[in-house]
Amino acid sequence: MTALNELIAAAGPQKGPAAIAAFEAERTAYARRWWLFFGLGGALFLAAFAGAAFIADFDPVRFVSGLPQMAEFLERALPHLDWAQLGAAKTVEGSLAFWFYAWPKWLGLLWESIEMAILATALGGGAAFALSFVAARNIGPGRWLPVVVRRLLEFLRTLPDIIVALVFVQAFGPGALAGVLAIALHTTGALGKLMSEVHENIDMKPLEGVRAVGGNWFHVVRFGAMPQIMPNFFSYALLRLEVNIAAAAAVGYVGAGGIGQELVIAIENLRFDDALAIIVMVIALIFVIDLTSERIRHAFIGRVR
Amino acid sequence: MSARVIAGLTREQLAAARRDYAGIVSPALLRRALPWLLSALVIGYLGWLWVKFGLSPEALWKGATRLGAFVVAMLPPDPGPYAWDFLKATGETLGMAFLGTLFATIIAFPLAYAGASNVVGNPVVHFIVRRIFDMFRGIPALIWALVFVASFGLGPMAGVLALMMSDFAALAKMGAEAIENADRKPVEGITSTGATRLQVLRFGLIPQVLPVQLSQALYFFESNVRSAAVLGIVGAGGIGYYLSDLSRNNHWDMVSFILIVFLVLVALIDMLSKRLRSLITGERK
Repeated sequence: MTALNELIAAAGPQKGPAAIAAFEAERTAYARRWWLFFGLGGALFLAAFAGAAFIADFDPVRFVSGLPQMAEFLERALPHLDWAQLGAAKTVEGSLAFWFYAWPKWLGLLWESIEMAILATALGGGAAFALSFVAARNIGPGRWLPVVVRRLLEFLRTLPDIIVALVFVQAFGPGALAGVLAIALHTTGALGKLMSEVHENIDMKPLEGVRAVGGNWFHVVRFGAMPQIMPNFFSYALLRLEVNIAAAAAVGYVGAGGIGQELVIAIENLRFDDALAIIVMVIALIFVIDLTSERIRHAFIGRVR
Repeated sequence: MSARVIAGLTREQLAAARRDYAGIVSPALLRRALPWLLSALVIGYLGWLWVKFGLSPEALWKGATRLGAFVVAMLPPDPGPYAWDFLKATGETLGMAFLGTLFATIIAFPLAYAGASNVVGNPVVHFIVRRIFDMFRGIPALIWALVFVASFGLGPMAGVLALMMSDFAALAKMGAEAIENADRKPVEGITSTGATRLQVLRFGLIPQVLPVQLSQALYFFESNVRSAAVLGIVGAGGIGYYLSDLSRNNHWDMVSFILIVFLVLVALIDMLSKRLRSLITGERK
């Protein structure tokens, strides 16, 4: 309360009508600024919206008229399940087993996607780990090398992994190898950038200590920085593994192995019920991964507390 | 010397230390070996995957030389006679990202309040709403794009809808968390003046949460510019279609032209969005 009183006292000896006038003047000025800001912002926003709608060819009429087509598509893709036959053998039309007739093969391909993600995360994570120390502003050796590495990591991060996979399929041939390398490259960029920012926030005193007893750059990183960032690195790598599993399921769409490739083949052959069955399995996988990693994260957080 | 001295300790003292601090001084062999065993297991598994996916030196070398040839063919970047088409496709990618994020934000704005436990108190409703968010969050944009291309036909509209469907639930979830973390004092203050529930929402919560939601939306816009580039591969508009078609036909100079335009665009958008984000969150501080 005293602070408020002091504030009022500091505002000067204004009383009565003068104070009200001063207040009103202040208020109109504020309102004018507000309207200017939102008027300009709103106009810019509307222009952007109109431009985007024009160039992206977005037409509400076409959207509404497309809705029946969507129902038709779903009608075609949805399996004709029969409640009475749901548990029947896979030779019976209308049973779940009939819909998921190739589930052992699909499950194998899902597993292949997961293994692609594991290897890609390990490869990319290793490269990211090494490069992140070079890229960090406070640790990086020399003046130019950190800048160059930082730009390289940003470049790798910006290229979407599916686009890289597209090029790699041409170079390494169709198959899981192209997908693994593409995801590993993207992981290097994303994780390397993240970790270099983690390094920039560490306590520098242990590093100074190691340097003071005559350690070289590798010693400083190994004994000064690494003990501080290892827990962070593993938690980010785990998070990245989660992202990479979804990516590994997707890169198959350009021919880079895993479950995605099977999905394209099904769609190209107009077997939409197969496609939907595969999509259901992919979504189920992403669900399971999401829940598991949440459990793991909470277990770790619980232990820290 | 019968009593050997290790670091100034006699054998008796050492034995006493082993007894009193069992598990710290000379732990059991298994406990010492366990980290090494686990690391060996992990490395062995990774090595097995390495072999399984054919990362042999000759395969890598062959691929790398071909990749090198592509890079040489990429220089100099040259759009040929299609510069205008490529620029239009880049604009389309940007427009898709903008509209997709905008629609997702509009849907997510009210949904976030439905998912916040301090607005909707019923725990059963809260649980159900959050699980619905999770369900939609789990489906990636590429799969939505497949569905929308199949039902709305080729073109950017499928891409806009795909981005909208894949993002609204994530935005709603993050918004709900922001609402739950909002300061309770303004809400209490406005409630104490006898305001209705709607007024409490409007003057107590929205001023706190809106900047957070807007800055999250901008963040999603940045990431969607990248995602939108991919959607064209399945026919949902933007540069993805050109990228997949041109790389299959070895027009690398055109591919590199599109990629450079795209990278410049992404850098510009990131810069602009960063500015705008700090303006939005800074204004209210």
